[in-house]
Amino acid sequence: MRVTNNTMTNSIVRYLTSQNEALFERQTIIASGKKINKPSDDPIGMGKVLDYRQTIATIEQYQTNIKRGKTRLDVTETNLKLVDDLLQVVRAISQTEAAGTTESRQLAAGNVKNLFDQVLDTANSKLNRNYMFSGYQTKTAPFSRDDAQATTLDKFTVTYNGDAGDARFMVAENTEVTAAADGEAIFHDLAGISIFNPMRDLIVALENDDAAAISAQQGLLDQAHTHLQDIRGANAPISYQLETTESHWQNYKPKIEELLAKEETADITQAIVELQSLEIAYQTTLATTARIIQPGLLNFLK
Amino acid sequence: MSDIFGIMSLAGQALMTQQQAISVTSHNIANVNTPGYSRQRLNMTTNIPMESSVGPMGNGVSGVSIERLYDRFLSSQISNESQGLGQWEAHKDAVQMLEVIFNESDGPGLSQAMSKFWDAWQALTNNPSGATERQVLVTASQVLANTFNKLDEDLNGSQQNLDLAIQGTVEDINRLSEQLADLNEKIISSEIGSLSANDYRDQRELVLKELSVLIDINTFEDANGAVSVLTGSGRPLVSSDQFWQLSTEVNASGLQDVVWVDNSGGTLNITGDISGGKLKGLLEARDGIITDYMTRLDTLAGFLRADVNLLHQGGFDLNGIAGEAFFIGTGTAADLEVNPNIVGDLDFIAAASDPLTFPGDNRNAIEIANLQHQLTMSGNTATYNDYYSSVVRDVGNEVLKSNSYYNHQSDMMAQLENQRESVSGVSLDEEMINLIKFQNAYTAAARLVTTADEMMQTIMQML
Repeated sequence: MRVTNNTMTNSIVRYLTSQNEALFERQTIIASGKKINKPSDDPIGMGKVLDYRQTIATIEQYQTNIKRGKTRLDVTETNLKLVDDLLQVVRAISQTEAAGTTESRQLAAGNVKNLFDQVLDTANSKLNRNYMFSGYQTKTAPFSRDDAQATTLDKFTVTYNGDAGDARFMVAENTEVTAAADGEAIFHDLAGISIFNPMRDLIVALENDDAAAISAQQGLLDQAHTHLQDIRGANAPISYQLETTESHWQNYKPKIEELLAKEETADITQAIVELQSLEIAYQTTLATTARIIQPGLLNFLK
Repeated sequence: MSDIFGIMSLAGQALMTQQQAISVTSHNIANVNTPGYSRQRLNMTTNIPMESSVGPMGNGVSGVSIERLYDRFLSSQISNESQGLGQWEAHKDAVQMLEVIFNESDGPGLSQAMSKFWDAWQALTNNPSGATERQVLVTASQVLANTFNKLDEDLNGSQQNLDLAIQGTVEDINRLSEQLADLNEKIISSEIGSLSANDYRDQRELVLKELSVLIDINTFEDANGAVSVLTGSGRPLVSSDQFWQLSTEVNASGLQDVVWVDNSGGTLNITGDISGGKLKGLLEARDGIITDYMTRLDTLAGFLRADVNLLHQGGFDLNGIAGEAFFIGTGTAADLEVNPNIVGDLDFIAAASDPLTFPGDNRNAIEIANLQHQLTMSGNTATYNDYYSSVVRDVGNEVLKSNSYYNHQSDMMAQLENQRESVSGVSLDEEMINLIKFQNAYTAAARLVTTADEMMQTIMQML
């Protein structure tokens, strides 16, 4: 084929341009540290990268949610334990005062009143500015009693101001963990066990110096204690579920992060080696160009 | 009969002919870098022999014509492939612009905005009445809406740019048509004596090639030497020294359509008939590709808005009132916006499922947060993120495909150009040799004159 000056120069320009392009691509990879710098670098990889990123962000959110759930369960347990301990003191008093004197019984009534209020306060405790045991009515104190009532019985009758709602935490896709928040079911179930009523009746019995009534409360207080144990026991599997989900995410997340890195991160060593071989090719082309373009017949004619 | 005067005039003609040859060679050398130039060559032939006593006697040389070395078939091949080149180049540039808009490789983008939106709903479920959590949700929602708005804006901007490019291309086509008509006229008048107007033809060839890059054309040369140009669908652009214009007019979508203007000023819409060249590439990108991605973005925004609104309106806010629409707008990406009432009063976020169970009820918020994993898109086979990932992936594939077609076309053009060069290109080495060749012949012919002169002197001295 007849080769003219223009044929050579055009070809050389094309080769140099494409080599420059390849060099530039390698440089971009090294500078950014990423294999994928635009969707066309690896379309399928780009899709995967977007998926992995979303998954990781969601897992991190689940981990936050689980922490909140665990905190709630811990604080619930602490409160319930306190109530149980207080209940034990009240039961001890009822035992002692079954055979007590009128004066000691009056003193004891005052004690139990204080203990009653302490249990009331604990049932009304808050977490993050939300009442824990009001069901969904987290801005309303669950239990209240009216000190303006006439009789002691009425003064220490509590009303429940919340509802039957629970506390749910999102821990996985379409999976929620539910923690108990219904104060009525826990502390004051009128169709079942009430923590408050035996205490109230004990106070009334102590004030009335009624030995039989005092003794009668012991059994009810025992039932209340068992009830609390049951409630505390029921929280254990929920706590366990949170723990296992937490460690599941702890194991799973690094694996996704690894997959993401594999898709996205460039192997710098490999990129640099490729850059060097491209550079050599480029320089060779340049040197060859210089040798071919310059001489012509003119140089040799006198 | 051969006589000394005959020898003189033969030598004189030889001198002139070699001089002409050198002239043509110098023209070639001068134009070694002129685009589209085809090398020329003086055709020499022996003169009609004269009768003499020893038989037909040769009568020297004369230049007959200047021939332009040129392959007509190659030219028309180059013309055809130029259309493909123009088309894929325009296509490639447009799609690369699309890739910049959808480039999520750095991080911030629609995917991340959606992710943060869903996370904000989840955070709300941990404390449904919390002011901080509600504010975070509103902010994340606004960022999401703004990201949709911006993407749509960028796509519109691309369309506008392509529109301008189309107008520019039409102007270029008109300019080239006029040049062609002008060159046709010059060629017709130069070739009246049946000589070949080589340089004008080269120029015309170049203009034709430029034109075929821009739009698909059919060309043929008539008996007078003029070239007629028709668009692919048969509308005349150039005929002899006459030319017709293309123009643009706004269509129903507010974008430019291409029209052909006839002799009486009437217009004919040829937008759908254009099948090659840069104009086709631009039209396809503007009307096909970008519109497609705008539609997909709108679909995503529409579904997201509808699904979130449906759940939100089924829930109850911190006042026990049913939720309003969370996102307002018409369901396109351009006007997606967080309901200003909600922005103004965070209590309006409906996290509860029941009118009496606020503030602690987070069930509606949980349902909305779980939308992230629902298969809501593409006939219930994909999540929102899946849908968007496929958009980004398709953009990447589009670019790869476009690059591949362009590179292939470009390589083919380079091959054809090399072949054209091989036929018509000027090789300086060759011209140098020719120069020496003709110069030697000139010197020899001059020597001939001197010799004839000396012979004359000798005869004169005999008298």
